[in-house]
Amino acid sequence: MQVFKAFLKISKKNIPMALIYVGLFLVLLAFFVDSNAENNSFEAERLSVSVIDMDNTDASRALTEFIGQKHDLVEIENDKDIILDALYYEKIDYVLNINRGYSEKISNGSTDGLFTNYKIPDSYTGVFIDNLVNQYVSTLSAYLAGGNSFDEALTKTEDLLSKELPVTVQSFSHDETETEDYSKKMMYYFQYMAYIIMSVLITILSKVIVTVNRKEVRSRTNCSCITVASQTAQIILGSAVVVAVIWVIFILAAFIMNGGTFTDKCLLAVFNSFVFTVVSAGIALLIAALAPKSDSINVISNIVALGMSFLCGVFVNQSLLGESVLSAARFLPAYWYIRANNMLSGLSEEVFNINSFMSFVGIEAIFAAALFAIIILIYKVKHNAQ
Amino acid sequence: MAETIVKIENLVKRYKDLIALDHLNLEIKQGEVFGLLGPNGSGKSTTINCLLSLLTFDKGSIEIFGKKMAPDNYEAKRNIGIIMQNVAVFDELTVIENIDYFCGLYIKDKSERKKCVQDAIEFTELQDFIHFYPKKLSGGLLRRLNIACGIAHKPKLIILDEPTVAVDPQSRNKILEGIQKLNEEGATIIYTSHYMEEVEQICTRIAIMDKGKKIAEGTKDELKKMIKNTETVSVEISEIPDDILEKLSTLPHVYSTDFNNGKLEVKCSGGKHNLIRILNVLQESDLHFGRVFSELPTLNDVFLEITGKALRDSD
Repeated sequence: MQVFKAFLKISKKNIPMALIYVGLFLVLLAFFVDSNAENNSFEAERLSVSVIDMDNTDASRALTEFIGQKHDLVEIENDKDIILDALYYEKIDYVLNINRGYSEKISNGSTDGLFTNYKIPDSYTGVFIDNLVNQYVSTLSAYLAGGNSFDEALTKTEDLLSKELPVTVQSFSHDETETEDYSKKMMYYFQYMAYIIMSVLITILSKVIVTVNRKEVRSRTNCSCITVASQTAQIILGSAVVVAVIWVIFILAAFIMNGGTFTDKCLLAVFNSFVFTVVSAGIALLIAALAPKSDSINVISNIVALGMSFLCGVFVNQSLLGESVLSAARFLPAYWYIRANNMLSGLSEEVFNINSFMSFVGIEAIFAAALFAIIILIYKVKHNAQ
Repeated sequence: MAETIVKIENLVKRYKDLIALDHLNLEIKQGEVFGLLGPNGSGKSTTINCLLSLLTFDKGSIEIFGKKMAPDNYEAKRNIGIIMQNVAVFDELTVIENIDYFCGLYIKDKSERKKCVQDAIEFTELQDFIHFYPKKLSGGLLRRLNIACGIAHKPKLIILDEPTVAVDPQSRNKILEGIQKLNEEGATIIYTSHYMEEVEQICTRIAIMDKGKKIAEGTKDELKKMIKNTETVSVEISEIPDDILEKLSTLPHVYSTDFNNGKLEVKCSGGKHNLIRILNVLQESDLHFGRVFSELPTLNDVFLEITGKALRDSD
């Protein structure tokens, strides 16, 4: 088992490079999971509002103070050009001009001509402040109409509108996608695993195969007592062990991240990842069969793994990719892996169906078979050429 | 009579229209240091590759240890050690791991292998570098590691294919001394090189190859006797009149005179006291000369006389 042992020893020497990819994977995972994480907290946005008080009464000052509690008050000169410039450059979001006679009009129950305002047309900030001011005026008018004195009405209005109701956001999107057995974290884990498993396998497996197949070393080994069949068998065994160990490590990490349990859809995702790992091993071996030098493998690894990941929807959701990109991606195994994963998570429009899922995984397996057939063919051609 | 270790008969190897080996015949006896000398592209490495069944051939037969050589003749392979022209080791393994790996391809028993590896390390004097990676070794040390990997399993036949290419003189001498030591310990050596000095130094019998053919074979003395030249006298001299040059060419045993770039070269065939006679002619003519050399023929002279070109010119 000399070749097998050397295969594992050489594989170990490539671990540091593979760890860089694993580190990258963890950063990517943390970033994407965090950026896509559900935000359950709610906080009202504070806008920059300028109030020009032309009335300068207790009532107008109370309104200014009220707005100041909800938003940031910004002082501004009462000059139309300056105001328009400030709005244009987004220094302020809204300018409320409390017209002279505001207090008197509102005491008399009139709400016409209380304000003039400057705002960005059709902006949500404009609507937001309009609603706030209207709400204030309506409430104050209602209290005044109810027989309260002006001061009482002001106090009650302020008390009422200052109350904050607890707001909980359930989800902004895809709240229907998450299931107990396949969390978003797991979904992203298995999604980005496509990239990392390709990178790690190409980095380790391709390099080791190229190393043991180096012409000089191969010649020396061929001159020895060991049969060619035994050499090949030991290299295949070594490759299988390396692939299995890498896959198990990633699955173990997923298992721990998922709280020490895998059920239903998670198990299907594990199965999907296993088949894709076999495909990735095929890609790595094909690169090894074609790569001119060990040094070029890192470059090839980046091109293949990154290229396939971008085309097939590993980094960008397949639903956001163009039809032409998806048409091309159908000829790549990662596309089917991601499609199966998306189906499990409900991220795509496709409703989960075990038969469809298995057909996607089956297509991946066909890719694997095709890759291994090509690899055998290449080695046969090389052998005959020698 | 010594046992025949390698027997090559009528070996022909073609690469499309190019004939790499043209009806080559060789017989190498036990205990010999057999040199295959020839310029690059003369067919030395092709011969070795055919010998090791790394290459198929079109015609002829190869026998090693009395049995037909084939890719599955593992009994013969067990007793062959190969040291390639290009260093064949793993950059990812240390010196000791590399030697252990290649030795392990022949010897399964761990304790026996351990001893063999240790012996190879001592033989190549790599004790201080066993945990070094090949990339950290100098060119000479790397060549020694290459040799250690090829001989660790104590083969009876060791094939060295240009093992001293791009090696500094000190390391080259160490390698050559090592090869002689291996031979003294009982190994039969096949040594290919295009450096005639090396072949002259260590080989007991030599075959000279050119364009896939064996053009001469024998001990170095036998080879030198095959040619006319027995002595070349070289004299550093600024100028020499044509009549003196003519006079020199009429001296007994002189068959060629040449004056070029301040160097007079007189080639002699047989006879004694050629040098004295040549110097007498120069002194009588009142010519002043500098350094004087008298050289016996080299393998390059043999190659030159047989092929009409120098070994180095053919590279």
